Amino acid sequence: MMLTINNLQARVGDKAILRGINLSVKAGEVHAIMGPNGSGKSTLASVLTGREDYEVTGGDVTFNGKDLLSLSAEDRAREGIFLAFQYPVEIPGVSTVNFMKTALNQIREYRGEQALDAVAFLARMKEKMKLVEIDQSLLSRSLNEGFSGGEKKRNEIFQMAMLEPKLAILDETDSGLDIDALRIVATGVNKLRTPQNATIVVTHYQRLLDYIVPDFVHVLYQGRIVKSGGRDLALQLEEKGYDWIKAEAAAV
Amino acid sequence: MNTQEAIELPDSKTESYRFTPIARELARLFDLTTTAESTAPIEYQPHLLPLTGVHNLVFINGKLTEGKSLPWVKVSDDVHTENGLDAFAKLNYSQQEETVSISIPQGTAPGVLCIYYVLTGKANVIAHPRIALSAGPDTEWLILEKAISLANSPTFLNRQCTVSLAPYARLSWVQIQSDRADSFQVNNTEFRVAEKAKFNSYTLSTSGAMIRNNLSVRIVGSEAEAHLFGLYALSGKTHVDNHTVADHEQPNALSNELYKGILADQSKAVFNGKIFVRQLAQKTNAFQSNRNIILSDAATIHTKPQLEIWADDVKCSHGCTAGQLDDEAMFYLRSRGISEGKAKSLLLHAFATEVFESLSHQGIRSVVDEILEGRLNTIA
Amino acid sequence: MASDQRILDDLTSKEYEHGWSVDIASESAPKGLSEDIVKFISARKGEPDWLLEWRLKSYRKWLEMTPPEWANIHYPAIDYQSIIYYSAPRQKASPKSLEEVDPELLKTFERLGISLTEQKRLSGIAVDAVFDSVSVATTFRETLAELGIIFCSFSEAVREHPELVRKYLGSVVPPHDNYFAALNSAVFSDGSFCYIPHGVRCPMELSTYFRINAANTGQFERTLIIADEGSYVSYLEGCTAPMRDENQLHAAVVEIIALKNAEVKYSTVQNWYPGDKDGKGGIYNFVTKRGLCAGDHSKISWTQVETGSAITWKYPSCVLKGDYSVGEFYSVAVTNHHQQADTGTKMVHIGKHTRSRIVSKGISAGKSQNSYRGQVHVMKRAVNARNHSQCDSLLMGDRCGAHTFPYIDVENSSARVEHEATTSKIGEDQIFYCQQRGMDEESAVALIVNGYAKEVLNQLPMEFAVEAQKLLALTLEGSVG
Repeated sequence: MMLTINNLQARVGDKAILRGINLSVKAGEVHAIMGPNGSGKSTLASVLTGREDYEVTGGDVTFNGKDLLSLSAEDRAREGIFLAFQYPVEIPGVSTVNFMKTALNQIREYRGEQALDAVAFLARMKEKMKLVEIDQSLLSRSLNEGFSGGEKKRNEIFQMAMLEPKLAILDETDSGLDIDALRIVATGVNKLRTPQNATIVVTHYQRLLDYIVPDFVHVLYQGRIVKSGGRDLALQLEEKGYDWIKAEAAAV
Repeated sequence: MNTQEAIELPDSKTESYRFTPIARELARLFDLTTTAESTAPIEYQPHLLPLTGVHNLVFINGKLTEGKSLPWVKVSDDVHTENGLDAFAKLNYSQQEETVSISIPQGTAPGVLCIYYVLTGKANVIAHPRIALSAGPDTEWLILEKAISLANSPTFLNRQCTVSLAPYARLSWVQIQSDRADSFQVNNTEFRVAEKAKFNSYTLSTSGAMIRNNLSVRIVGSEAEAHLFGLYALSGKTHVDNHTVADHEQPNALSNELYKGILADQSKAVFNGKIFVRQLAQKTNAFQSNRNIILSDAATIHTKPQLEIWADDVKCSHGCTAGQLDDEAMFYLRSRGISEGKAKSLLLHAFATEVFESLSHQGIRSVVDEILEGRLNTIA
Repeated sequence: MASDQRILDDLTSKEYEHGWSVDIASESAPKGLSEDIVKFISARKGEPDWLLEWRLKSYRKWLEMTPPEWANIHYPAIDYQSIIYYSAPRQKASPKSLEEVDPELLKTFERLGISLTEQKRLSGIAVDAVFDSVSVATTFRETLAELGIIFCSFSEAVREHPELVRKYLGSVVPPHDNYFAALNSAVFSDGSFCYIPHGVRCPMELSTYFRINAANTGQFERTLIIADEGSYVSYLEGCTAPMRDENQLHAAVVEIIALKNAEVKYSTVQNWYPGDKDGKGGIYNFVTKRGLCAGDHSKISWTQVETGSAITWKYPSCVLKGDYSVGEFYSVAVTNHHQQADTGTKMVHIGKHTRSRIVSKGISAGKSQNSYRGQVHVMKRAVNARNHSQCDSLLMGDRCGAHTFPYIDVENSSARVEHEATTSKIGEDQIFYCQQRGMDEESAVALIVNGYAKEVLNQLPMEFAVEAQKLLALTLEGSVG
């Protein structure tokens, strides 16, 4: 098992948001986490990646045998967890190239690998750029500054390609994308799939799942996974909305 | 009344009066150690603004004459001994025993109060009115001030005002400074804004000899809001100096300041806007902007925005510009057949009106617009 | 962030790298200041009478002046009688070659990364090394001389080129300009002199490296740069001092004259000892730097990275006298612990169509106070003058302060002056984003700060830019906000 989430609970201030999440992810799998707004989807992504705004109040998470929750945000990244942000931040004056070089070499140092020299780094960058059809001029500009919604998301997937994570979490990656951008982003993600890595797709709508086909679909509601199933579940949600899930949950 | 000790007014060696030699001018024209006694009754009514449904307070040479009977107005003889008063405040206290207190209690219906300072007499016409106003919780009032010189010689108005806003109070403060070309003014105003109160200030200066406005806003409660607007549109030799302070002492508050200036002839403007954000005042938003259009080579602007910040989680910015009307826009209007003069006044008007956009009282808004319109037509 | 406080409290800055001193035999003037000391310095340098007179006049002027009090800095009154005004390493009066220079001195500069020996010279940079009060060596002189460029110590210029020195000394910063300029004019001991002749583009960076070594010693150097018509030069200045518990005074004057069509680019990386983390010791840096764009179409550009000194009081300025002349000021000022900086610029537009640009990036951390103070003055005849100023402040932690004092005075109706300023903190979301990509907090901060200062760092010559980036990271180490 790559990732095991056991009874995970978290809150912001006094408000409990995650109220006992259980989830297991194996290498090679794609899991989709769906749910209505405010169900805790983005919180789950944040808690797994170590954002400090959330307080974990119970449960545990094991990632490749390590206690994930005891690691700092950067060490989780270095262990191979990647978050494609819903709202990537802008960092003025720092180019994506410079940003990636700094990140990649710190990860390599953590893993006891040699830093990449400029030539090797550039070669790797060129290769990955093709995957997400991103232009080099974009990568020389200040990170995310003045990028369109589509450019930001493509940049996220480019970074994912560069860092080759074991577990990628895509947080609402489809939001704000037109259909062409969505296709490019999804194609990038699919190309990066291997039997050794896994993906968690967090989304409100099922349309992204037409492109990134999940092995499992989980429905998150009021901080719990209330239903799990296969691909069909997503289609069912598309057709019927979330109300029947809410009704079922209320009946329990 | 005579003062025992002479009060030394700040000269140009004092940083904050470097560009405004008001002490020198006053010394030349007035004897500051005395004040003209009230004269015979004077016909001031025709000079008041044409507003209906408002309360009036009229001061004649610094003494409250009309409005004494309003229930929440009280005249008291308190001799202030507060430390740290500036020289003009000291002068005011030394020459004026009366403090007019206005307290608008909670539950008072929204209203408008117009305060007029009438200056009259033959020589050495000086007035030192002093007001302390408090706006009770949840009240919603608008205060308007205007000086009216009806004297046969230069006038000097040295007015002191302290204003406090209780929690949730909403107060707008309008100063109209469009007095005669031989009138001098110093207006010291301090506002204290409590929790969740909302304060708007509008200062319109269009004429006079020399005007100095010291306007400071202290944010003493969290989630308070203060908006400071100012417009000076000057010609001739008019000199207007606005010194403003937005002092954030408590968190989560907003201050927003917009002062604009139009300078023609040999007019001169000074703008000094200070923003302080104290260590406690985290999550403060404080913005300030000063924009100037200079129409003549003999006109001068000295602007000094100043940010002083001791809290880290804040958003603050200031900007200031000095320049001309946009050539492109001028050309565009003229290419549509509009004369140069008219084009100029249209653009100046567009530039100026932004300042009063949020002034929602219809009657007062049209008074302001009319004064502004007249002013801009003669400048352009 | 919950960890902020912990990290701030932990604040362990890396020790100041250049905080050692060497034991070099030196000869010093006795402590204190008097006409006799001024005469002593002048005599020691074998100066002509006119210069001694100039010094004495300055000294008398200084006696009548008082230290400026308008800056946003606080320090105990300086006892000018407890300072040594002249200290020189004991060596031959004027070494003809490096063989005559004390090897200990050469080693000192080697240790600072400044090699003065023929074999290891920094490629493409000519260095004038100033140790305590005097210039000890100037490299690449012959190469430069072939082009007619004069680059030597100030003392030597007084001997060899008195007509140039006499013509321009004090022409941009007159002795009575301010308290510290008057003091410098009375007791300046050495510094660099540079003259670029008509039409010559200086092929290499010229650089002065200042090192204070002796204790209780003030450093009062004077730099004079003259760019004749149509010439170009890029000038670099670096500085370090040992760590000492007491404060040491540095009061320098830099004068630049750019004649018609000339361009001078002056870059500083100021890394004087800032004092320890409790605010003990450190250099008091009171510097007057001013350039005169005397000729039409001339240009003077100041770039500074200020990371050191306990107190910085410094306003590199441009007097734009020539029509179409251009002044620029690019600055990054970082303060941490108890440092205080009051720095900025003055752009005086006198000529027609003059342009100026100001980019200032302040970064405050710890308990420091960082002020930008600048003036843009458009005079009456400066038709079509243009200025754009951008002043940004970044705060790290809630115990520091950022202050902005821009003065804008416009007396011409065709001028366009724009000033913008913002204050912000490093976003928690920015730091988290970096961490999520595998960076630790310190690297994230260094990366973000360098990005923030990039517009200024880009102005520096390559070698300096790398150095400056490292310095920024070093100065802010441990002060994550």
